[in-house]
Amino acid sequence: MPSRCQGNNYNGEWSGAGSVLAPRRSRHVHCRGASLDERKTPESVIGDGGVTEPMIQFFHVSKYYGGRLALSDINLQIEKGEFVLLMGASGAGKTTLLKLLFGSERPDEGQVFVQNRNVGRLKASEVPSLRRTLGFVFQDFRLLPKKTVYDNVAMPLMVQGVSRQNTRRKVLETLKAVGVEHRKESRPAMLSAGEQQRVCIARAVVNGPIILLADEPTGNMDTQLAGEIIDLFKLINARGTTVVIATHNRQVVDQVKRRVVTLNQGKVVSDEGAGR
Amino acid sequence: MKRVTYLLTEALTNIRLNQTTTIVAVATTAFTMACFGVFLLLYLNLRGVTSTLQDDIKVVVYVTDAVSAQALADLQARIKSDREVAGVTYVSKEQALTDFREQFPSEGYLLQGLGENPLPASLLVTMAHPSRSSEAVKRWADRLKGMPGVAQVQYNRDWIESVGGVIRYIEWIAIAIGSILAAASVTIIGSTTRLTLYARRDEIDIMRLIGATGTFIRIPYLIEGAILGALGGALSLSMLKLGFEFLKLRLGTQTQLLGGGMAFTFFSSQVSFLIVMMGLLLGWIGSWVSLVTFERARP
Repeated sequence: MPSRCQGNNYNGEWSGAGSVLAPRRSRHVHCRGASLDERKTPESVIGDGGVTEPMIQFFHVSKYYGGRLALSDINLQIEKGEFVLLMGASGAGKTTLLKLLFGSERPDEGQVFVQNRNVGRLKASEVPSLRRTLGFVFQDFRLLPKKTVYDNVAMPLMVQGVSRQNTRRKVLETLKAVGVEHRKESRPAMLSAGEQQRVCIARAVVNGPIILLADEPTGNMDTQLAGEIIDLFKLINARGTTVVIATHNRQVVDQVKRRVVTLNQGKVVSDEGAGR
Repeated sequence: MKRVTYLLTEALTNIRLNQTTTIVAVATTAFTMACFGVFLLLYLNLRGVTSTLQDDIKVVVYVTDAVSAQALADLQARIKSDREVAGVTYVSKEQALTDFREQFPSEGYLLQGLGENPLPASLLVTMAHPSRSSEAVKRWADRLKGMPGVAQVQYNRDWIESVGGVIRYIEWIAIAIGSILAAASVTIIGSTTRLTLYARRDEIDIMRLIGATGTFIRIPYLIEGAILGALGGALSLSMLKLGFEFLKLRLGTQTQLLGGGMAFTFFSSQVSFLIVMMGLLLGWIGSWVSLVTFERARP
């Protein structure tokens, strides 16, 4: 399936990854040089009767907002390297579920594990180190308006104290990979929605996260643009990153053809296509 | 290094972001600190005056006319050997008369009707430094009173004690006013930081999401507060200096008369530096208080 994204934007470091865009689970993804690759990716991933490694686990998780039930008795396990779509109407609990993953909310009942760390029990001082292993993409992008595209993408590296030289290399590689390198000196407000989302994705993956979380990343986008953004996620996933996307967009489901977890009124009502 | 640059740039951006509020905050802090500065200036100057007065503590030991030369010499040697005493000068009857005529030339007629010199001879005693408190002087003088040849012992105790009392009052007032004004400065700078925090709350949320630690997020705001406080302190100093020079110009001749050569002095460079540092500290505390409240509201 040729992708616009591939044709336009992949070059250099990412060119070798083109083949893994096909919707199948890749076992060996060799990544050299690029910032995305600097995590420890075990050679054996899931599928084909291989070793499974739970990335995300929910055990009987419930969450209330002032007496109103947002999540009810959620049990969910996501393995390393999976691509999972969280479906459901607004208010179904998708965003709450994501918030529990990055420690912005804590479960009222049950336990949430991310990379075997009990997120609900993390001390405030331990939350930053969890978040440094995660990447976030939002519907509203949440870019820093007064900083250039380059500075926005450099931010996660800067807060970790990565050297200027390494930052420069990683940021430029990542911007190139998502296809907005030519906009690196612009401010976010000068960019189109698609470009802003690419910058947001670049920021999310620049320090090689183990898990990429996205909340309605294709909201307010036309079909073609949404398709390009989803292709980017598929590429990132093909390189070994676990991807969880909350969406209510059926187009995304059709395009991704992976596991779909459907939420309704805070409950998991279906979990289909695992291992597809 | 990049992080340090970033944190400083962010602090300056915060200041630029809220220019009007910043100016108001610096000016208000400056006025507040200047109020305290006036008291501090008054206090330091008064303390300077008293310490000059205390340096001046002299005890006059009047000797009886009948005392023999030998007894006088013994008394003088005796006084000189006391460790409370720094120096002794003998003023003879003749010297006393000359001094009187010099000091009160128009009142010379007072002595004219008297056949002989009515003024007694005396020993002028300067006290040693550790014994200059009024209690020590009193104890020493009482001991001297019973000695042979001593007619009377006089010293300027009351004057020193009353000035000492005033200074103690001023100390208390300065501490009370200082604490209130310090709290005011903290609040003023705290509110400025709070405005910046709310203006940038989305950015703070983003910084948190990408894994910035609490300290990393806080530092620019603390620097912002410290800069505002230090600027306020510096501005208050300039205001005080201006007012001080103006007053000196207007009252120049009177102060000469009052102090008899004792001029009012402004803060030394160390005290000036301390005032700026105090502003810095107050600003830092103000921002810190705001950050704590802000973080409680947005966990």
